[in-house]
Amino acid sequence: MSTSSTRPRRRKRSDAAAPAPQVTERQIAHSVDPRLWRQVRQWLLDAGWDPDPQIGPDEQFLGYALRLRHLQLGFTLSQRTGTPSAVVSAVLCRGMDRPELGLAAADAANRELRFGQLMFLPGPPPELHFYASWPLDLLDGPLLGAVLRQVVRELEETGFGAVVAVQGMHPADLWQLFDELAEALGAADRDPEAAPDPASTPEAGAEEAHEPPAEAATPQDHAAPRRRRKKPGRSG
Amino acid sequence: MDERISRSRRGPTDDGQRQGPDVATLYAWLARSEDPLTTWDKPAERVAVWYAGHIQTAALRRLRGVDWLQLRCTFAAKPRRRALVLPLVAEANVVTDRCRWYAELRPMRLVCALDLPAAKLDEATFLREWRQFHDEVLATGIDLTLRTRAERWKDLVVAKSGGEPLAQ
Repeated sequence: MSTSSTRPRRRKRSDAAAPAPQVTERQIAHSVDPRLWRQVRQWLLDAGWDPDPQIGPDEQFLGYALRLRHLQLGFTLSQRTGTPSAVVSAVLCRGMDRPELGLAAADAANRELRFGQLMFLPGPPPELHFYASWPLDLLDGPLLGAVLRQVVRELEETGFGAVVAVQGMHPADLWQLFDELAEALGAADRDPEAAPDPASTPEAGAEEAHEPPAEAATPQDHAAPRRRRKKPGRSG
Repeated sequence: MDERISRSRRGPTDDGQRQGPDVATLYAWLARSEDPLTTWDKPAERVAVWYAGHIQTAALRRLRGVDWLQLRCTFAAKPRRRALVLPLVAEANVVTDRCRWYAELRPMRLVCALDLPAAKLDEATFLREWRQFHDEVLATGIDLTLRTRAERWKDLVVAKSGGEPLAQ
């Protein structure tokens, strides 16, 4: 799976006449109230998002990202629908081993998704993008944090199904990715001031270490005949 | 919760107080704005408004502690050019901003969906989002419906000419 960018790469029908995407995003940034963006920036920092080093200081409106091994979620503000909206986007896949499955996989994922959308861009190279936006007046700090955590879960449960369909990812890579997602979610949920779990103390581990090891299975165990289950309705 | 009660009788587990309006409130808000069109799609579950050729519904669902408003718009016309459905739906997904398009199977229908956090929803915001969603759906939905429903031109000419086959 390829890396992704924080900027929503949306191609519209009027692309030929539209300015470059970066210019458009700068215009959007200037039309958003700076106080609103400062508030949103604080919400993002509280939810554990980091500034994106690829973005310069004059483009701070775009500069927040959540980095995972295979994926980078980007956050920005948009006013395309007339109301200031929070936008979360990610490039899930750039280039495909099985591009003929792209349309069907994206459609199935859109049927399963509970919010946002999965876009199939034929390319070249063909790409799968996730895109979701919500009006800012429907969000506040804790709610935005909860929604962003759900985005990660949604991508884990649905978005990566489409990626696996078109990419043919090795199962070992997939499990490692899921482990990292679970770890990232756990870090976001964990309270840093909470007391350490007593079960994870060295004493608990030491007790387990003194337990006798399980006996190795003998060849006789493998040779034991399997018992047949009695079929219902038969007597005796 | 009393653990002596069997799990099947406890009902759905709820990890917090539900926030935002309930479905009856959504019905009241819609009935005030689009009175003759507002109906219950499923009583106490989903509010529906029937427009020409399509139906738009609103429902509430709780997902991992967050309440969501689910808006759906389903086009009643069955797409006849099935080979075109997936490419056109993918194109519509790139064009639209907030909502997502997908094809529902058996029977095949074209559906547009939008989900919004419902905790801070009030009447003005709900009606604004309802209308914006409807406008965005129509902007691509009519074209999508016509292009996936259009019949082959030869069949159409034959039908219009009284059923006589075209001269080769």
